[in-house]
Amino acid sequence: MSNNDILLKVDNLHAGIDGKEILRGIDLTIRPGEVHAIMGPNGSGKSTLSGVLAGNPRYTLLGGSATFHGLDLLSLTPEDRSHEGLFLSFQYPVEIPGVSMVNFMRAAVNAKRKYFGEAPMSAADFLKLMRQKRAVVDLDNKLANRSVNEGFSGGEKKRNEIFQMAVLEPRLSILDETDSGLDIDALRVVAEGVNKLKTPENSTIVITHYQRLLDYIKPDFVHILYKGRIVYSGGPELALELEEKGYDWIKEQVDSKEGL
Amino acid sequence: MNNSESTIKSATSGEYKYGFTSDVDTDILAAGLSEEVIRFISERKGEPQWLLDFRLEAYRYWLTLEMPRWAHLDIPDIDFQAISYYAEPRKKEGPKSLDEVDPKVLDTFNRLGIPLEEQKQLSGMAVDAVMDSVSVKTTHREALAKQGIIFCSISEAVREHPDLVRRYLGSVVSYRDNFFAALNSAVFSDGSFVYIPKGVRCPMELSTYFRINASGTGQFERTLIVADDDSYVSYLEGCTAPMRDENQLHAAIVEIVVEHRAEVKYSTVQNWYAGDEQGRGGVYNFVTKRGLCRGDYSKLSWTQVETGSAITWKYPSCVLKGEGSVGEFYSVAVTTNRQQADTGTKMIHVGANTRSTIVSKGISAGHSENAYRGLVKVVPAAQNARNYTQCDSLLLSSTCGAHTFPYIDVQNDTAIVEHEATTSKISEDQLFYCNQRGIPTEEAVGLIVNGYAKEVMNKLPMEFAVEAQKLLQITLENSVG
Amino acid sequence: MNALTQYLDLYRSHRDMICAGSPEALNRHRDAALHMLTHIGRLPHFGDEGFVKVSLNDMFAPDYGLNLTRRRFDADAEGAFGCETPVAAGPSALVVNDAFVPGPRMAAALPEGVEVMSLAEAARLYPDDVAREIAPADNPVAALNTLFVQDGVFIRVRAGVKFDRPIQVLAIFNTSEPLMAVRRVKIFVEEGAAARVLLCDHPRVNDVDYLNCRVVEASLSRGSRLEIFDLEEATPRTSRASVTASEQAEGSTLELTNLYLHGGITRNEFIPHHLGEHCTTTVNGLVIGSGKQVIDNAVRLVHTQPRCASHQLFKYALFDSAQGSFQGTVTIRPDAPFTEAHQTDRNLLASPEARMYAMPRLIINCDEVKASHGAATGQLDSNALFYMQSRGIPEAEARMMLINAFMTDVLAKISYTPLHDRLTHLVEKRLHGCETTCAGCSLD
Repeated sequence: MSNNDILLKVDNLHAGIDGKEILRGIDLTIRPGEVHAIMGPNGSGKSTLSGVLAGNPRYTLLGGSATFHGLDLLSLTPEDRSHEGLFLSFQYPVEIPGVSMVNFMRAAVNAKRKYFGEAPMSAADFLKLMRQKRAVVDLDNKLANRSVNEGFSGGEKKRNEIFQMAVLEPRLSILDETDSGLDIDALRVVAEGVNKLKTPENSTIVITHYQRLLDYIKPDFVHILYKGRIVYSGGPELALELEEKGYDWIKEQVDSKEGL
Repeated sequence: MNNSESTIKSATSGEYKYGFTSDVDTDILAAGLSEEVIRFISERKGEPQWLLDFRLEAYRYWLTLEMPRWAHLDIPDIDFQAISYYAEPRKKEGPKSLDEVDPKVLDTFNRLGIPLEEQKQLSGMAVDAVMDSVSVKTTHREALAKQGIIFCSISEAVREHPDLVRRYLGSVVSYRDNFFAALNSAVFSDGSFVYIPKGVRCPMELSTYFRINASGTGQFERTLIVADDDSYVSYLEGCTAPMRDENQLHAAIVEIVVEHRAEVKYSTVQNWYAGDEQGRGGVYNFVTKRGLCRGDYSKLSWTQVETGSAITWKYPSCVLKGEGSVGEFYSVAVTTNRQQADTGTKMIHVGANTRSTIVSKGISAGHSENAYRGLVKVVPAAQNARNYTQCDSLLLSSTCGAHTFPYIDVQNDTAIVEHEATTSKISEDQLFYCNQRGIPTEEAVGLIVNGYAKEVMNKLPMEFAVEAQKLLQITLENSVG
Repeated sequence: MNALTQYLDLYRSHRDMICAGSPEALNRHRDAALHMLTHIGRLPHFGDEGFVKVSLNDMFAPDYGLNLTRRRFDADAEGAFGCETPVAAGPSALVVNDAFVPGPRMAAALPEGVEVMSLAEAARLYPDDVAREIAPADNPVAALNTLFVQDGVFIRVRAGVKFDRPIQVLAIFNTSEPLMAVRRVKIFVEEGAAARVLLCDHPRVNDVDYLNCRVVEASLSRGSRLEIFDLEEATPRTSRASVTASEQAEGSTLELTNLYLHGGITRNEFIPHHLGEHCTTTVNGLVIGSGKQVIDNAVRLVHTQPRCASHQLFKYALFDSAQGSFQGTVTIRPDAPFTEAHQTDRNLLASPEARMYAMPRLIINCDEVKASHGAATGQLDSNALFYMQSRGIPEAEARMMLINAFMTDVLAKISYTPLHDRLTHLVEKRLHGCETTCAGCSLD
């Protein structure tokens, strides 16, 4: 297998927060076009994994590596990871009072262009791009003039995340609990947005606690994260099995093994 | 004055039920302050030379000071030579057993709801009962001693545990700290001493009950609490005084040392006599309270319910020196009639990752003046310090005052310090809503005030919370009649 | 060292000369000011309540020259007005150090009913208006100003006249010797009138110590409206002691916006006063401090009338070893029911050496009020920073955007759009480390 076929390779990744180890050796390989679901009970390390991959400084790297289309991902700044095509849809999108969505996105788009040696986008082109991408998730025009995520409803925030994903055209999107706090209609809109953006080249990691999002975004692989390790990997049927049987059987298996 | 205001007025003029005097034979030192008086106190208590030296040094320093005037308080001149600095309920000669305590003293504490007789003692709470200048009885001592906990009067601690007292006395509140700290250091009479050894969780609430009885005297008690590594103690302080037309001075010092991972909860229900409706009489409550969170991850929590005293002037404080140490201050201060209060806290962040929380609820009624004053200071070394302060004032009359004086001094750029303050009154709408549901106005006022103070009241230990609730009712509620 | 003595001595020995060179209206209160200052004996110093970051004693201690002989400084009016950037061409007046110089286009730009003139001239024409004391007589900075003031600016907007464009007063600092410039700005807005005044400090020299002792007094008649924008862009060797005092008759609205972009040590005091009901007073401040700059803003607002409202919003962003201090005292007297008073102070410490001291206070002796204050000191939200970085915005730029955003709500309250845009631009430039200069802020 050639490395060129691999978009992301995570190797024995260890990381923690406030002196406590959360990820205790994650291995994960993602190829272009694949959709991976990472499931797991609360506290298993799902959000830590997404945070570490995106470079959130809150987390401390304790070992291992991650290679993103040939680059040493973990050595890059968060913004360079973004430029290189990694996108994190936040579980809790951050409110930034005083910074309008338009300015925010313009700064993001032009920073990426600068990174690749391109000139800033003209105002007209930028507005056109915004209009175009808003359509993907049916985002209200008036939100564009509001401050980033400020006063947005839960559904609007998540749609706003997918809208940004549409604008930035990432090679790998990590959707961190994108379904949390969404009613079924909002969930569908968001999932449709993600599906519209799907190409044979780009890949997606869907992090979720529940099966329901996976009804809309079909995974090729399902991994179960527990106590900071991927303890089980399988096909889409694994998610259904979890839905039916819950996480307890996994916990029992792992805990009994650890007990030995 | 409209109707609801007059109801509030009548509801806020509750009577002081601890205002009785006890006819106890008392030895009172003649009024006046001099080195001789200090030598007398020290000798009377059989103190070692170092303590006498400490007192004299403090006295000489005090002589160089003038009474501070910066508070939002109108304090009449105090004639420090007109006060007697030592009063002791007279007891028979012989060994100190309960039988020897004047039955009238026991009766006094019984009437205050603090039975001292062995068979009636409150379970789950050890009490040091202090009347005027001396401790008359400390309960449950033996049970505590089994775990190595020392709980006794400070005079006794000086005799029995001189090394401990000498090591810690004045280590948190220096006699040079302020005018009243110097005065207290010179003349302090009695108070409680608590030592919780390493790793011990004190099995019951420790409590000191202060009673001023003699007239023409001041009370200058001194409390020292030391919580060694990994220990825990909850300490309660209550106080009352008879109704007298004269003003009585209470200038205490409380020092607390909290070592590694130890926790101290210090709760006060302050109910000194507040003076009458015209502002005659009442206690001047000028107290220095400070704790040093010396150990890493130590915690000190002050909770106070202040309803008494003609003038309250105190700032229970935390010096957060240990890494990750935590300071808390929860306060309800009620002023009615002509009472004045200038109270709050100081949170001094010295160590990294230190946290403090301040919740202050001021309630003013009548012609009273009620001020919150608080300092939050983050020194340059205190990385990642956090403070949150919430400071609310409730005005129950059009003639009272509610003031907020925070001082926020941030010298480290990783700190986050937040202060919020609001002022409100009980609205006509709220009262009408209660009335419409059948709740009479005075009860509604009590209800609303208790709701307003709840966040702080919840911090009190259970036994005290009930008493404090009642106290709020008594202070603020007087059934229509 | 007692800095006050030298000024009292100077005044006593030169009293005749000062008074001879000035109209009676400016001389009227000098002796009373002398008496007051003699009585207090010294200027506030570190350790006095409210003087934590700034000592007026130290500020006034150096041996500054005073222009007692009324020497004319080089005005270079054309040069000062030669700056481009016509955003909202309005009338401008120059004050060179302490002397008024009419701008070249001033007369033409002023509509009927709006007067802008030298304070000395106004003292002859309208002695009682000029002699009217609005700043409290017991304020030491105001008293020092009264002692030595010989000129400044007088602005009057006649009843019913509503003048949209800002009247700009450019204060030029131009001297080769250390100088204490004493000037006073008096603004009268008559019944139902409306005006905007933009005050700018413009240093022309960088290498001289300069003390700017300034008093701004505004009188608002019934139903009038006044907006004052005060822009400080001085040199690190400038000290500024400023008092802005106002009196407002029934139903009037005063909005003060104070922007500190550059300077040395600054102490601004704001003392609004209400004479009638239904007044609204807004005092907003924006501070960007860097280097060793020290900025102290003090608001003393006493509500004495029913049904008035006050709003304060102060924001500090402090870099390097800049020091900030904010003291806002809102007092509500028993005779001011139905007052609404709100105060917010938010501070950003953007470097390990930056310091902030905040002292908001509420003194309330009336129960029919809505009053609140909040103060917070902290740093940029690290979650927001990461969020922006994860969208590809480089850290430095993200920081800048967040600091800008932090400042926007003060700027957003400037209702006159051209000025809002201009000042926003200046703030952005300042945050990007550019020296903002006279050319940058002239609205002319």
